[in-house]
Amino acid sequence: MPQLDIGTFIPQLVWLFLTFIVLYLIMSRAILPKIADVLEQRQDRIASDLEEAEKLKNEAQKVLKTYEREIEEAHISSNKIVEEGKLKISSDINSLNNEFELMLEKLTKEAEYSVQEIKDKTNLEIKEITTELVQKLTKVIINKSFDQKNIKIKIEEQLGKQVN
Amino acid sequence: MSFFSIFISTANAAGSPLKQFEIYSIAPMHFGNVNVSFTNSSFWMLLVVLVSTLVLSLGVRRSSLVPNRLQSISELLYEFIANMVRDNASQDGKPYFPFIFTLFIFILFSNVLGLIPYSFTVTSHIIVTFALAMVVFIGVTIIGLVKHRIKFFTLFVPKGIPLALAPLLIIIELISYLVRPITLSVRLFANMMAGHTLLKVFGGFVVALGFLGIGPLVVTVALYGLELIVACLQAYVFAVLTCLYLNDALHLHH
Repeated sequence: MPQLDIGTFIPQLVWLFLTFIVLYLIMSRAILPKIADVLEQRQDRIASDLEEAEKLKNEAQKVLKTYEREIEEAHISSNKIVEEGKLKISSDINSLNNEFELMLEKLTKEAEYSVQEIKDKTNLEIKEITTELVQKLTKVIINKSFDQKNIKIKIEEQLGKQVN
Repeated sequence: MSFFSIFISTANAAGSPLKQFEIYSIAPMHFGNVNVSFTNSSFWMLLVVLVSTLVLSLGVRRSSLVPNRLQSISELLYEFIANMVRDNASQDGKPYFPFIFTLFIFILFSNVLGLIPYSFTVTSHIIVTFALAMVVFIGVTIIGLVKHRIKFFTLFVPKGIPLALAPLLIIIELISYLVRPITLSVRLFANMMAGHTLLKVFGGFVVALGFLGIGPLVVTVALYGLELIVACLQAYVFAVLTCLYLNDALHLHH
C-alpha cells in the first residue's frame, strides 16, 4: 500500500503545508474579503431598496388619506349647500305665502267693506223709496195723508221684525 | 478456473488498483537533510490551489450586484461555509471562518480533481488527512486552553454524573477527545481510497472483458456519480466536524 511508505511522508507534509498556507493567504487576503464585500453591497442595496419602497408606500398612503379626507369634506360641503338651498326655498315659500295671505285678507276686507257700504246705501234708498211709495199709495188708496216721519218709524218696525 | 478468478486476473492485468496511489518524484529536492522532492502529490496540491483560486477569483473578478453563474458558485460556497460556522460554532467562530473555508476548499478540490481519470487524489493519503486533522486538533485545543485556561478540562467531565462514575467517564471522554484526529483523518482517507480502488477495479473489468465490459461500465458510471457525491460530502463532513470541535473548545458545553 503506497500510503504506508514512510519515505514519502516528509515531502508530502512539506508541500501540504506550503500549498495550504498559500491557499489560506489567497483566500483570507484576496478572495474572501471580495466576496464578503459583494454580499454586503447587495445586502445594503436590498436594505436601501426596501427602505425606499417603504417610504413610497407611506407616501402613497398619505396621499390616499388626503384624497379620502377631501372627498369627505366635499360631501359635507355639498350636503350643506343642499340643506341651505332647501332652507332658503322653504323660507321663500313661507314668506310668499304670508304675503299672499296678507294681501288676500286686505282685499277681502276691502270687498267686505264696499259690500257693506253698498248694502247700507241700498237700505237707506229702499227706506226712502218705500216711505215715498207708502205715502203716495195711502194718499191714492185711502185718501189720507200720513206724516212721513210716522211712516218711516212703521217701516223700520216692520223691517226690524223681518230682519230679526 | 472459476468465473470470479478470471475477473481477478483480468483486473490485475490492467494494473494493480493501488498503483494509482503511488507517489513518485518529479523533481528531487533536498533542503538540508530533509527530502522536499517535488512529487506527483505536490503537483496535484499546487493544481488544487491554482484551480480553486481560479474558480473563486474568476467569479468575483467583475462582481456585479446580480451574480452571474461563476460568481454564484463562489458566493454560494462562501455563504454555505459562513452559515456552517455560524450554526455550529456561533458568532465566536467567525475569526476562524477563513481557515475553515480554506480547509473545505482544499479538501473539496482535492477530492473532485482526484476524480479526473489518471489524476492523483491528494486526500487519498493518510499522512495528508492526518496532518490536516492534527492541525485542527492542536489548533482547537490551543484555542480552548487560551480561552478557558484550567477550566478547559471541564470538557472531559460530563455534567450531572455520579461521583463514583466520574473517573471512568473522564477517561472515556479523554480517549474520545484524543481519538478525534484519527477518526477525522481515517474517515476522509478511507473514503477516498476505497472509492478510487473500486473505480479502478471496475474500470479494469471494462477493459478486460471487451464486449461484455458494458456491464462493469454501467457500474463504473454509477459509482463515479456516487464518488462525486462522496467527494463533496467528505469535504463537508470534515468542515462540519472542525466547526463542532471548535464549538466545544469555545463553549465547553456537551
